[in-house]
Amino acid sequence: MKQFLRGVRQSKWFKHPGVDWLEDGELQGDALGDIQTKNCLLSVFRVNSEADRQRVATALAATKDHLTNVDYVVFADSNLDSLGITVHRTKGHTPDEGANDLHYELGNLTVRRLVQLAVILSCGEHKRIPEKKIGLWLQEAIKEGKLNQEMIKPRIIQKISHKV
Amino acid sequence: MSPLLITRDSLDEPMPTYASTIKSDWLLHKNPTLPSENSSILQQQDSAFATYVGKPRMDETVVVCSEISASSQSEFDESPNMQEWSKSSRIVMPDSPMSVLTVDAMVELGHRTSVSAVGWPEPARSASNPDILVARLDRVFGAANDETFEDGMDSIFSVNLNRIIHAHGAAAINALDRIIHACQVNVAIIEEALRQAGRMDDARTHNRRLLLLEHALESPNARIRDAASIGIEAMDDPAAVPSLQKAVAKEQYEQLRQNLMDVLAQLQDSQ
Repeated sequence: MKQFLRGVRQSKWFKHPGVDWLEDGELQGDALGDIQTKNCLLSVFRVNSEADRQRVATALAATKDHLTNVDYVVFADSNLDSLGITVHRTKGHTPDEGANDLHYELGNLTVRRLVQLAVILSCGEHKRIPEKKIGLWLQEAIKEGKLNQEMIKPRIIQKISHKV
Repeated sequence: MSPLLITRDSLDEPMPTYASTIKSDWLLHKNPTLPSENSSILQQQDSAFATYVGKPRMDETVVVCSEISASSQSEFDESPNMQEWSKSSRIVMPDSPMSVLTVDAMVELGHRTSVSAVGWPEPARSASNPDILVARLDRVFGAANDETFEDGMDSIFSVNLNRIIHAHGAAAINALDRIIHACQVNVAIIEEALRQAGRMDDARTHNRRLLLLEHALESPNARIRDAASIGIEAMDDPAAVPSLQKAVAKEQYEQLRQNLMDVLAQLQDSQ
């Protein structure tokens, strides 16, 4: 069984009783904003270990305008096939080549399948990496030469050199 | 570096060729000479400038000055140095409706730059009228209704909010607090405002921003409490420990409780 990681904003996935107007088992409509497709494809990363998760979270943070926490969800691929959702390996576009090699695209996404995918993601493991830790991870990755610094916003570089 | 010029025409271009030389820490002041029915033009200007924020390549601070007409002079009563810069922009580019001066250029011109172009001098903030600020922020919140926010990415809303807080200091945070607790605003925009409040580099408003975030931890809305915890985490100030302890003890939603506990642990480590 493969596991995939998708960056999200965790609060959009809060359920009942966190969001009191939601009925049990329902999801906020805003969650769909985190799985917006392009050309009916959705970008995800395959993660086999904690090290992969750290690498991908760091790579995602390195694509941002400024230093921030990273929220993500890890989910299994077990039901994707039966839903008719395809999985293709493609190159990612982060500043980390290693993370880019872990990049996949979920395809054939229809509205119905997206809603089903949202349910799968809601049951996945939701995790938050705080900004401070992300700063440390970014600094470590830069030191180890994993990140192409030219692709990172100067504000992020400046902030981690101050903060860490 | 020589002063750069932006005309109204060039603002309509999606990406001016000099955009890559502009640093994100700029201030934009809308041109007060434009009549109010031209609000769409103002919106376009904001969008154009927001584009720059995503493309900084050099450590150059930029200030955008608007030409001031006699009738709109009162608009600038609270920012005397804006008047000063604006006058200089007319000296540099006499026929231009709007000019951009880099900080280096202002140094060359002998103007005050000690505020690092990211804040008004003290008189500006003390002159901030709370009701006017609430009205201004209301407009900024209203304009953000159609925006989509993504973690770690600049938005027109966050740039505008940043600008107002830098210009008006604690008075702007008080106004923000009023708007947030009036509970008539889209929750996604409040989340963005709280994240932005935590992320700002502005020592003068540090305590007031922390108070805003601590106050937001008491919101009945879980998303607002979560955004407040993210803002507090970004500020990394152990002074928030008692508020977080209270929030953890009160929190019923397990996932959010865990988030709050993680922030609490981080701040306790920093003590």
